[in-house]
Amino acid sequence: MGDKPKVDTSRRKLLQTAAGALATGFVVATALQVEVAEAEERKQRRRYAMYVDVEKCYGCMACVAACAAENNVPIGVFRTWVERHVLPGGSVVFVPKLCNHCENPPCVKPCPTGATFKNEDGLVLVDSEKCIGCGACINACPYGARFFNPLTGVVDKCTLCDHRIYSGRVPACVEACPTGARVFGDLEDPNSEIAKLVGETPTQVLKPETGARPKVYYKDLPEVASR
Amino acid sequence: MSYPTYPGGYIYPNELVQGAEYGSVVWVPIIAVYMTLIAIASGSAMLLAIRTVIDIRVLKKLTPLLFIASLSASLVMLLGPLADLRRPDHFYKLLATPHIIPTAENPGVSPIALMAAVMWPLLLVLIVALGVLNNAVPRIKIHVSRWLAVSLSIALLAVSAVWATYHSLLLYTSVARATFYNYLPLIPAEQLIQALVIASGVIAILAVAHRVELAGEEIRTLALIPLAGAGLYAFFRVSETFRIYIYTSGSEIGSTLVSALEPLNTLAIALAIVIAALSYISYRSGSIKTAAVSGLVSIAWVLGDRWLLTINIQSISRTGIAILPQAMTSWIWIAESIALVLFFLFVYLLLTYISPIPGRGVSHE
Repeated sequence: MGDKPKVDTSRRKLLQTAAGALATGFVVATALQVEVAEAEERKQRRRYAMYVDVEKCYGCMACVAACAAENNVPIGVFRTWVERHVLPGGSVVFVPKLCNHCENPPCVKPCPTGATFKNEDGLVLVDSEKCIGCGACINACPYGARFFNPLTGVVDKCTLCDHRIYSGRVPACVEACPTGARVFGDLEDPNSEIAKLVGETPTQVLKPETGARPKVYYKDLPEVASR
Repeated sequence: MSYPTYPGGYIYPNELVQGAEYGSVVWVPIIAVYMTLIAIASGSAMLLAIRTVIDIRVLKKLTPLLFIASLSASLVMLLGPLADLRRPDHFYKLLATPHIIPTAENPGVSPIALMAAVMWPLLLVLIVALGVLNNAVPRIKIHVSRWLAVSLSIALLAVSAVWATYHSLLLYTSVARATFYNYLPLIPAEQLIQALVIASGVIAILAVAHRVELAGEEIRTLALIPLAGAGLYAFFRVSETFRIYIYTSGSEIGSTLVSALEPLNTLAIALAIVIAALSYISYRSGSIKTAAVSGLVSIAWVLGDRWLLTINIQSISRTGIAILPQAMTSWIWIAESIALVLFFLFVYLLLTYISPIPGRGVSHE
């Protein structure tokens, strides 16, 4: 007789625990599902790119200085640079250049350790912990955008300021440009300025023949600077 | 900063500083020596594989040499790129996390990872297996079925052929300089030939060093490899050079290509002709010493060609219209290269001590 209530209590406790676990599981699963859905959404929606209006650039180098200061780029190497070209008529144009964060990046494939990778938003980045400094990516990049960082000993390049853009800011070079020659944004967002500019303006990319599909779009790029 | 200036063309500013003490060179000169060592390893492995399938008397007699030369070169060759890495302390990651499976984050397959993590151990295992099967190791005699021996030799032939053409595989991943390789499409075939020629030359040198007695007919058979190989190489490279002159003559790219190629390209063709001539003399006279001299020339030939395709090519700007200055202020690569060759010789001597080469006064019987 005395044993029966014990069994009942135990069963009740078991049911309570099971219900609690079920509820917790449901909440965790829902949260995870939301997180996965968000990650999926993010994966599908972001395609970061840059638009450069060559006409607006007057070669002040504010972008180069801002990039160097923001990313601790040593003297002599460049994550971004500005080229000065003299056209046949004698006029001078300035062409800002940087890593093109290609859709089909030639630098990612030959990396032997996977240190160079393409993240879910299309940024081509380098994991300096994995980099062995073989230089395969430097030799593969058609744009001369990669270099050995003399301070770290490993390969370095433009990250489109990933530490800034994921906290809602624009890359340092874009922020520093006094004429708005550089526009940064998400091509997948139809309301973004860059999506409108790339969609509505005739643009050029550098070395399309390599099949790299660059994501830096130029307006009024002179042929002399497109090598 | 000042604006980048473009001496003699148009270059990217990062190209000027890529290799620090080596100027614009990313893959430093020891890579040329490393690639020569690969040619010796893969060429002798290919001859070892061929010997298993086809009964060639001279190769049968020289099996222990082929085995030890290929094994010792294969064992030490990865030290070459180790000296080239800017972070050699991260080298283990190449073997621990090789990029050999394409993913969304890391599309494609890295030739460097594939060769180091997969093809290198495979090459070593197959060389040892075929060495043992061909009685190249004294006191170890294993008999297996004919089909297994043939399968293993075909596998070794395939793996060593990939190794022989590895340099060209690496060059083709350099999209930056794709224009250059479009004009030299026969590089893989040339490098396959070079591996066989240098291996036969090195084997002739070792046969002289170990005083292996070879009959006149056997020497003639051995001399046929560099004779045919060097002749074919010269034909291929002359055709390609003409192609460059015809298609790019008068253009900016043409003049850049010619500046990067010459005079080393002409020297490579000339040395190939010298090797063919010496091999012909060796074939006619049945002289192993002439074959050994041809072997020495073939080492210089492969080294020169690898230098051309490793160092000179890197002097071409990615723009294709300028030659980058190559200010090699560091000469440490010479010490590194000598160390690599000496280590190869040390391993070779060690292996010949463990497994003596049958020559005058030494027999496996």
